[in-house]
Amino acid sequence: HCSKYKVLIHIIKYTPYQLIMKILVGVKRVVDYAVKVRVQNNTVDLNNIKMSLNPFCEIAVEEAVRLKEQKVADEVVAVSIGPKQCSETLRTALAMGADRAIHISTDLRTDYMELQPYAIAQIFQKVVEQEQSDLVLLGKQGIDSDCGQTGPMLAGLLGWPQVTFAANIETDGKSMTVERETDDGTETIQIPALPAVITCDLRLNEPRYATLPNIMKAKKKKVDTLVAEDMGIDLTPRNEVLEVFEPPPRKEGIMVDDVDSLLDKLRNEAGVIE
Amino acid sequence: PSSRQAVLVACENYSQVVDTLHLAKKVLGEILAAFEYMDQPILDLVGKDKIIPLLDESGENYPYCILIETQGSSEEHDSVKMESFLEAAMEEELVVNGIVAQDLQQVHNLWEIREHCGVAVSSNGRTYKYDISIPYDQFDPVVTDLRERLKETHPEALSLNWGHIMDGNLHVNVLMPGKFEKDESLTARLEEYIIDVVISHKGSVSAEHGLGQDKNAYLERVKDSNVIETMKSVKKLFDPKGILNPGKYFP
Repeated sequence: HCSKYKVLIHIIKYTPYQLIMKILVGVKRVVDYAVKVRVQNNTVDLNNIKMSLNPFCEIAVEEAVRLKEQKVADEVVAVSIGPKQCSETLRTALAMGADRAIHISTDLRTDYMELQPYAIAQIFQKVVEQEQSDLVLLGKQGIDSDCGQTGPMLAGLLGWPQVTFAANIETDGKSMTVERETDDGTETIQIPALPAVITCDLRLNEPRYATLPNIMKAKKKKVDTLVAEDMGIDLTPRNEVLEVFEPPPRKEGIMVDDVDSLLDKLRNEAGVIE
Repeated sequence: PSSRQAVLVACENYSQVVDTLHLAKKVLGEILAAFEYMDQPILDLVGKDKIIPLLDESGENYPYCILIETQGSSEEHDSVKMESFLEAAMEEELVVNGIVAQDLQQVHNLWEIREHCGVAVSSNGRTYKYDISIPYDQFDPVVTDLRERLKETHPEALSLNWGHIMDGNLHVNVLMPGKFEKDESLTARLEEYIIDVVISHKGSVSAEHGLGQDKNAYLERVKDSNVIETMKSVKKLFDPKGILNPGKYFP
């Protein structure tokens, strides 16, 4: 009967009376921000090009890890969709502090050329339902597609509240107060209860570097693989990409002879002064 | 190069820095592109202007940080090599911590720290710079010795050191914070020591940057007079009127 009491005490001690938050973070593998892309065969040439973690997703990972460090969340799961090299992207997230990762494997391009936000949102929906996540943190947009649609679509599919372009998040573990960036200024939104979807903007935080010891630890963290094509979702693009071209080269400026000519041009050609 | 990897690693002492170099040459081989070390005093100074992302548990700079970069044509190939190198470095306890750049922006940020070394030093006071080449496993004893000597006569002077350790060059810098005028007594104290050190190690007083104007007087001490005479006659052969870079190299 000694062991029976021990078991009872065990259950009481570990039953949470505070909300345990499970966070799901999307991490997209994209062309590195610093790379100048080239157009080849009416599409962006991805051959031998440097790829890295989408900067906005990196900010999302950082926020999730901070919430865990603040003891508001207890698990951070990173999810990436793409080819086998997504394991590197997931490893960055794990090295930053995510607990485990899920790789949705596909050879379809994720830069809008093949896989598009609606399908991506449905994939995330499946994973979220499987994981029973409480909070989904995504980057506000991928720097390749610049869509900014996955977050809102996912929230719509899940029927969850959403706040996009988050620049500050405060929470007590149950409700969340999110400041979001808009063209007119900052808007503060209160989410009374989870679950919710939040997309992250630049000002939210400054992501940490991946340290050597953490990168070593990340190797031992669990990464599960699912195949996108086996998830029972229609992955065909809803929008057809007609043409991809580089922006036209900047027009050469002209020299004017004097201030009067300059004013004339500004007033009558550019129309920027009255 | 289509593949660039950069890491900033921390070492506790100079022999670890040297061993890390040997390991890097062995494991990274032809893709090793840069190996730049920085000691704690220079990191402290740079740290006033730039964020040093690699600090110890008490938030202080490590005794040494090394910026290591690889460049190659295959990201897959290079990252495997880098991984093996880092694993071995950790396992053999040559490095105690490190940061691996995850994208090109982070690579750039790490280089900003290294590139700020010269700026930080020049903007803080007069720097007495020596670009010497001696066997690199002698750097630490030389610098330690120099610091001891300076403590005796010029205690506010800071000796800060960093270098592309790959080719055995040491950029010795002694900074007199807040003072921009040349202190002849400090110059004399430093030069007598540095020339002695270089001669005894059969090194060079002008490893990388050429002899310029300041070091002419020491040419006589570093090379014997026969050699100098030969050098002068070669110069005369090419420049009989003495109009090419007058005053440089030969006093």
